[in-house]
Amino acid sequence: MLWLLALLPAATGALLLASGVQRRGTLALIAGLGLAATLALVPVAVVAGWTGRLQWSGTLALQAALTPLSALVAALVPAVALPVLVYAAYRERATGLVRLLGLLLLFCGAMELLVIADDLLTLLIGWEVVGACSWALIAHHWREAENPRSARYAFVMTRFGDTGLFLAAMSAYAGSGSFAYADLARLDAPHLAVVAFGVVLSAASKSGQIPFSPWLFRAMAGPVSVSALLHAATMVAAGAYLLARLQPWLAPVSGFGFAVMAIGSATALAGGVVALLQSDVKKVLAASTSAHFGLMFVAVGAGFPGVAVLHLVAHGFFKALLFLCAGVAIDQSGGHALSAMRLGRTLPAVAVMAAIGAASLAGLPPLGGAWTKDAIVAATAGAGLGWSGALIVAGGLSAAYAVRWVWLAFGLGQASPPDKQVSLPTPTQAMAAAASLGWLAAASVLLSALWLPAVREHLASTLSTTLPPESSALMGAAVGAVALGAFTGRWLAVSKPTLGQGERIAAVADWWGLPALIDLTVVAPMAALARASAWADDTVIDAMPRAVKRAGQWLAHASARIDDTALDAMPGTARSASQWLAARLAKEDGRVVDRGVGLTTAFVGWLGRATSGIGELVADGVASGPAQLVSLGGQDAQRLQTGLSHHAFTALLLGTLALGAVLFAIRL
Amino acid sequence: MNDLVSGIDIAFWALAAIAVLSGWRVFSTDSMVRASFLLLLSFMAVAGIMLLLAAPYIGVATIFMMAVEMMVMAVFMVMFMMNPAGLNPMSMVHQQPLAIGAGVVAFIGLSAAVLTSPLPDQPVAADHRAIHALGIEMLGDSMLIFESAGVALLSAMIGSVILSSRSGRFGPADPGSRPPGLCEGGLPAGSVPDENKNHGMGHGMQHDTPNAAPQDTHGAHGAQGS
Amino acid sequence: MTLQALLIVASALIGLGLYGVLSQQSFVMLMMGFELILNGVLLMTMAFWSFGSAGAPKGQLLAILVMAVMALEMAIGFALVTAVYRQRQADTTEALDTLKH
Repeated sequence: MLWLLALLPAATGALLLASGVQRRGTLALIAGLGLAATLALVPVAVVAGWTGRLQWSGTLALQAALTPLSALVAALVPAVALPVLVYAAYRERATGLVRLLGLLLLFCGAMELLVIADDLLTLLIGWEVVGACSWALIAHHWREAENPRSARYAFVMTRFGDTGLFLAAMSAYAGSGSFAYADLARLDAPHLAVVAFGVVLSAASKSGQIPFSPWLFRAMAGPVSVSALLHAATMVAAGAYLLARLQPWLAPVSGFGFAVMAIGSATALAGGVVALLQSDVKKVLAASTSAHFGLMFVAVGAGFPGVAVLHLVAHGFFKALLFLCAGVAIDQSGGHALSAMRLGRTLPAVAVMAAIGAASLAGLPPLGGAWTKDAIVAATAGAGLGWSGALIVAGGLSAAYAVRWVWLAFGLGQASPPDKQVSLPTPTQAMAAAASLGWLAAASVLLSALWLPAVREHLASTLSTTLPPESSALMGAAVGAVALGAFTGRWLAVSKPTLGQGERIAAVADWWGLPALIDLTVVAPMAALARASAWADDTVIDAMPRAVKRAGQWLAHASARIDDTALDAMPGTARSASQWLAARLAKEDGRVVDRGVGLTTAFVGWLGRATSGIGELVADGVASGPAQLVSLGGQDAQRLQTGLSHHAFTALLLGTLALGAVLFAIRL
Repeated sequence: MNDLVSGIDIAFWALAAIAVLSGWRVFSTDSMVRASFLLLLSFMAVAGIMLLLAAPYIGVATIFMMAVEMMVMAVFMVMFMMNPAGLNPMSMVHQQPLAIGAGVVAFIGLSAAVLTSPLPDQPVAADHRAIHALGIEMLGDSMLIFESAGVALLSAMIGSVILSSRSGRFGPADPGSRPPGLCEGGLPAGSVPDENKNHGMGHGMQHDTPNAAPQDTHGAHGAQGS
Repeated sequence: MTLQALLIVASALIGLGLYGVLSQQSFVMLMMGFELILNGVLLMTMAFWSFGSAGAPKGQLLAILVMAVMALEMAIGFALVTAVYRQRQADTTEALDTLKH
C-alpha cells in the first residue's frame, strides 16, 4: 500500500502525458490534484502504518517503510512540488509543457520511492529514475545546443557518484545476503565501511558537494521550475536524506562522521564564497544550495540526522520560493544577470516574498530556516569548535549572499531596460505565480514555529530524534555572524554591483576553478580515452569488419565484373551465337534442308513408283503367276501328248515301273 | 530236279538260248520277214521248253498258233512295210537308248524280283496227265472262262473284220489306202503312172469310173482323202 | 532247269520285247515286240505251273488264256493297222500324230 505514495504522482504524470490536455489551467488542476492526494496520503500512511513489500524473485524483495523522518520528507516532496507545478503549468513556455509536467510528476513519484525505500535495491531504483528525470528535465529545451550538453554533464557526474551506491548495495548483499536497511546492522566492519563510504560518495555527488559541485551550476540550464523542484528542494536533497536515514547504522564506521563533516563544511564555505561572488541570479541560488546541503551533511556527520532533515524541510521551502522568484525576475528582465534586475518597484509582491525567502536563507530569526541553521551549529558543538567556527562563518556568508541577491534582484533601484523582447505574463499567469510563491512563503513563515520549544519537543518526540542541546554562545555567535553578513551583503550589493564580473573573481565565482580542474583531470583524459577507444574501435576492432566489408566489396565487384564480362557475356555471346546460328541455320535450311526435303520427296516418289510397279508386279504376279505357272506346266504337259504311240508306251512303262517299285518296296 | 546236270537241263539251256537270241535277232535284222520268222523260232523254242515242263498240250498249241500267226505277220509285213525283205538296210527305230534302258531295267528288275522272292516249290509229278487235267478243267470247272475266251475271240474276229472293212462307217475306207511308195511319198511298186485307173486298189480289185462313182456311190463323206 | 532259271529266261524275253515295243517305228515290228513280251509271260506261267502248283489245271488254263490274249491283241491290232493304213497311209508310229495337242 505504501507504494501508492510513489505510484500516485507517477500515474498522474502518465495521465497528463496521455490525456493530450493543452490548457494550462487543466494541466495545473490535474497535477495539483494528484500531488494534493499524495500529500494527503502521507499522514494516512503514517497513521495506518503502511508498508510495502514486493517479492521480486526468490531472494530479492523490495521493501518500503516510513520512519517519522522519512514521512516528513515524504510529505515535503508533494508539498513543494504542488506550487512548483502550478507555477510551471502557468509560467513555463508552452512548447513541451505537457512533457515537462509529466516528467516532473514522474520525478515526484521516483523521489517518493526513494524516500519510502526500506532497502538499498528500492533506493537504487528510485535513485536511478530520479537521475534520469533530472537529465531529461535539464535538457527540456533541447533545441538550444547548450542544454543537452549541460544535462549530460550533470548526469555523468551524478552517475559517477552512483557507483558508490552500487558498491554499498553489493557490499551489503555480500555481507548480509539482503539489501534491507535493517540488515545493515548485521554487517561486519569491512562491509559496513564499504557501505558507508559508498553512501557518502553517492550522497556527496547527488547533493552537489565538493568535488561534485559544478554539475549544479550546469543544471541551471534547465527551466526554472525544474531548478526549483529538483535542484533545490528534492533531488539534491536525496543525498542528505539518505545520509540522515542510514546514519544510525553507519555511524559506527570510523571516519564516517569525520568525512561527512569535512565534506559538508568545505562545501558550505566554498559555496558561500562562490555565491557571494556570482552574478547570475540562478547560480547564486545553486551555490547556496550546495552550501546548505553542506550544512546538512555536517549535521548528519555530527550525529543529528533529525536536525539535518528539519533543515532540509525548511531549505526546501525557501529555496523553491527563491527559485520561483528568480524565474519571475528572469521573465521580467529577459536575462539572468543580477546586475540588470532591481525589480522591486516592478514586482512588489514578488519582492516581498523574495525578501521572506532571502531572510530565511540568511538565517535571520525568527524564520524557521534560521533556527535549523543554528541547530546545526549547535550540533557541531560536540564534534569540535573548529567545526562550529566554520559553520558560523558559513552562516555569515550565507547571510551576505542572500541579502546581496535580494537587494540586487528585487531591490529598489533603476532597472535596466531588458536586452531582448520580453513577453509580460498574463494576469492569470501572474496570479498563478503569486499563488505558488505565496504558498511557499507561507510555509517558510510557518516554519518559524520551530523557535517555540513546545513545538520543538513535540517534533522531537514525534520524529523520534534527538535535538542537539542549545548553546547560547554558539547561537549568539551565529546570529552575530549573520548580522555581519547581512550588512556586508547589502554593502556589496549597493557599492559593488558588478562584483564577480572581473576575470579572476569570475574564475573564483565559478566554484574556485573546480570545473576547470575537473575538465583537466577528468574530462580531458576521459575524452582522450574515449577518442583513443574510438580510434581503436574504428581502426583496430573495426578492421576486421572493414576487412570483411572490403573483401565483400571486392568479391561483389569481382562478381559484378565476372557477371558483366563472363556471365552477361554469356547471354550476349549466347545471343550473338544463337543469332549467328539462326542465320546459318536459315542458310543451311535453304540449302541442305530444302534439298534434303526435295531429295526425300524424289526418293519417296521413286519409291512409290517402284513399289507401285513392284507392287503391281507382285500383286499381279501373285495372282497371275501361279496361273501362268500352271499354264506353262500344262503346256509342258501337253508336249507329252505327242499323239505318238511309242511315247505313250514309254509313259506306260514308266508308270508300271513306278508301280512295281512301290509294290516291291512294300513287299520288302 | 536233281542237282546233276541232266539232259533236260541241257535241252533247257539250249532252248532258252535259242529263244533269247532269236528274240534279240528279231529286232536287229533288216528283213521284216526274217524278223517274223525269227520270232517264230523264239516261240518254238519256248514251246520246246514247255514240253520239257510236262505241258505237252500247251507247247504244241503254242507251235500251232505261232506258226500261223507269224505267217500272217509276214504277210502284213509285206503288205505294209516298204522294205520287207530288207534289201535296203534302214534303221527304223526311235528312242533307242530309252528303249534299251527300259529293256535292261525290266530284265534286271524282274530278275531281282525273281531272285529275292520266295518261290513255291511244288513241282508237277512226272506222270501227271496234264492234258487230261486240262481237258477236265476247261470243260468242267472253268467252262465259263473257256467259253468267255471263245466269245472274246469271236468278238475279236468280228471286230477285226469290221475295222478293216473297205466300207467304213463314214464312207469308203480305202481312199487313203494304197501301197507305200518305193521312196518316201512316192509311187508304190508296180503302179501305173495313170492314177485314175489304179485309183485306190491296184491289187486286182476292179472299180467303175473312180472319179465319179466312189464319191457318189460310196457316200458323201468319202471325199476326204488322207 | 530251276524255276529261277526259267523265270530269268522269261524276264529276258520280256525285256527284249519291251525294247522292241519302245524302239520300233513300224506297227508290225511293234506288234512283234508285244508278241515277245507275251511269249515271256507264257513261259513264266508254265514255269510256275510246273514248279509251283504241282500241276494244278488252272495253270494250263491260264496259259491258254494268255494265248487267247495274244491272238486277240494280234487280230485287233492288225485290223487297226489296216484301217489306219487305209485312212492315212500310216505304217509307222510317227505317221500317227492326230492326237497331238
